[in-house]
Amino acid sequence: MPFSAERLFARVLTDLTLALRPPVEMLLNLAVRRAWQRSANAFGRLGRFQGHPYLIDPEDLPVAFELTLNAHGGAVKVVRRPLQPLGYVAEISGELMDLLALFDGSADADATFFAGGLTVRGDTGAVLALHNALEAADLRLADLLVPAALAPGLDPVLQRIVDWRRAARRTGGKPHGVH
Amino acid sequence: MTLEITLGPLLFNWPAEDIAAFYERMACEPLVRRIYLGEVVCGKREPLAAATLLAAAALLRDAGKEVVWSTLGLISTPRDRRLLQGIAQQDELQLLELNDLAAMSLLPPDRTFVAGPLLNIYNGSAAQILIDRGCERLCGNIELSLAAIGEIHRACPDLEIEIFGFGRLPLALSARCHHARQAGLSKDTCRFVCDRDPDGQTVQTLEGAAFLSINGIQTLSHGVHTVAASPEDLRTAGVRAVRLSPHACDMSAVIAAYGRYFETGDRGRLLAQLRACDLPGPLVDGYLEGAPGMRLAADL
Amino acid sequence: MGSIELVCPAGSPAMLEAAIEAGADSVYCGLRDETNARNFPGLNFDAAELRRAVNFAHQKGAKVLVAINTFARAGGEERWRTSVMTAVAAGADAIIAADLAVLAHVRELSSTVRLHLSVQAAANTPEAIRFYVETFGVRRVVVPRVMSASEIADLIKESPAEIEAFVFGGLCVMTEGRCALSSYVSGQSPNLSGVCSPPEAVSFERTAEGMVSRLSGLALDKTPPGATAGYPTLCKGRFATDGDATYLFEEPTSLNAMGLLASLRQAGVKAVKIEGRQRGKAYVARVTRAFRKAIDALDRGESTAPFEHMLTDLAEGGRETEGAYNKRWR
Repeated sequence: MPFSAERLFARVLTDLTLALRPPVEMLLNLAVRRAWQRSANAFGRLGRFQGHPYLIDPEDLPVAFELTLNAHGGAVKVVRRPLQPLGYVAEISGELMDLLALFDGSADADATFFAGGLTVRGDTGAVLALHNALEAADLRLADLLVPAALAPGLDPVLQRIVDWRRAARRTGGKPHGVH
Repeated sequence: MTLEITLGPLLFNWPAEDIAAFYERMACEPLVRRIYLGEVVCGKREPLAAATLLAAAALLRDAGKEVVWSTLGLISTPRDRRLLQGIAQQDELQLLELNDLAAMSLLPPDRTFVAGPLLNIYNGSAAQILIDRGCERLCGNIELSLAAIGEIHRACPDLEIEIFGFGRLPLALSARCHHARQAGLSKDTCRFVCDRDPDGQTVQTLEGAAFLSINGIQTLSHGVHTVAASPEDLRTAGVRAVRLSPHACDMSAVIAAYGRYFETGDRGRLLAQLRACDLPGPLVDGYLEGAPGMRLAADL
Repeated sequence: MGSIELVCPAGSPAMLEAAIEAGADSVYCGLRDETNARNFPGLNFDAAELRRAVNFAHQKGAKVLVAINTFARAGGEERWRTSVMTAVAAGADAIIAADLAVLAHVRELSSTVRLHLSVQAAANTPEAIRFYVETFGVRRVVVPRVMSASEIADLIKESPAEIEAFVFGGLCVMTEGRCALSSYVSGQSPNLSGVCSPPEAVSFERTAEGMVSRLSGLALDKTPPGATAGYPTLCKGRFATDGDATYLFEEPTSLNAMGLLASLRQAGVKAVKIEGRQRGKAYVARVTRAFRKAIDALDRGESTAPFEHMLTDLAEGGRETEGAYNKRWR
């Protein structure tokens, strides 16, 4: 592999973030538990996808997240971005803000689902299930990945950015065919 | 009991002389006893073919065939309704095949009928409701697996069961005419452009994969469906008759191939003989096994 | 309730509440299995949720219509019976069904519960409707989206049941309940499994020229980089017969018949329906609010024009059509 300063920098950044993993994961898991407590039935809606790990991969962050949910709660792990598929039920990658918009529940599901910039690998049904489960429970991906405890003022700011992004690319969605 | 071979209604818009010639040939086919006639796809085509089909019916009856009159799959215009009313009340047409439940309230209560493959009969309870109204035979919806057909047979053991066993699969009906739309016309001003394609017009994906075909308001498969089960398994599931849907290829050869298959069970030979018939698409056979209908038929 | 009943979709309890708060007269929903025609992962109601939903709706003066509108699988009919019992026990105001077996199950269980004929039965003639009314006591028929406004008006003159018509959302170009395109390619279809283009068979491939959407490997469409690609269904793909590929069956547009509300009401349409149980609570709240305002305006003798373009961004590619209601569509 040829030497690249950028690549080295990214590598160092990833290593640094991973070194901070335990406290970050602790906060993330706290967020998942809170979300679960808020709407206990929510994760059960994942049906056959309960207990299967999803990879949420914000390409503009140095690391990715592994999200596993089931009827009794769930867990988030901070992981190194995999170089090849690793058996996740689905991998969703894109810029962090696009990912948050996909799962923020305040927009038309069809319109945001396949908004430009996101890549879905694996079972599209698993992504649909995650989307529908969070939507039904009034949860957003931000509730799971951005612990409010860490930054109480962050939430409204984040929401404004998500809204702005959506308005900028409001091109519409597409119904699923049947009635 | 050996499986019966029937000839389904012609789904395509052929010239009258081709229709007449086709049924003249079919009148001489000893392996086929029952033939379904009638315009099933488009009410606009019906007046074009009606006289030819009535003449064919007389010819076929004289040749000892049992003629069943198939009705439109989608009743949508006042003309379609009048046509259906007329057919339902004509005694000389004898047995009718119904493809739209609208016919149920027009048919005199003592008339027996065949429930056609375009009806949504997916289970024994639904079949029983039709049996109570005079249904003596069900040609199963193309989506039914052989397991589902077996269940219907178990629930309704006296119901004669026929399956769609050869031809491009009738997949969908629309209020819109795809042929007319392709030609920049509307359904009401269609100029009968569907007559260009005696087996339907093949539809390809952006990558050039042929997978569907259009026939007026109907969408068919591109693949030519054949039965995936052995004659013995068909009989065990209660299948009594297998329907061959007319295509422009040599239908006599197709009939002969099925006749041999039902005697011998030699599936490799059936597929080879069918493939030699200049079919409009590859052989597919998924539905009977509950698989995607477009699954390619493979020698066992 | 105004002069026309506004019937809105609910894919989850949250969506049901959002629809009712936004002014729905009725909501329709399904149980979380193959007995309803929106059997997508993560959607729909379990028995307890349905009970709570009916209580909530009744407190707010709204009705809950339960869709059990797929065709019972031969040998597995018990599941459909169970759904019927669950819906009746929950106090559903009506059951929406298409299968003769399900209609019969409902009548065996209760001689009084209201039956609505699902659009999946595609009953579009007085003769077909008469059959369902005489056999099962069906009270209302949801008519196919392939009928024109004048055809609906003619049908109502002879129909022995109330008529409900779709006014917004996805548009099936094929007659509902008479389409097996999805099972031909994927093995699953609305009639067989309550799902069209099952998500597990859907995939996306990002290439230099754009994103290719596929169903069971077959390319349905290709969109340029950065553009929004819709959920891939077969009838909305781009295909070729002998020349260039086009949207062969249907342009990617969606139905918005708000401009025809007055004539539908004039024709005697009893209820209007919004499509989209899979589209979430933000969608249902906006569409319901807009149609609530339009119906209320009509009832005050005012025009619906101010509300007609409130929803354009929810349509596919921002494009709307009055569908078959406008005869030119054919």
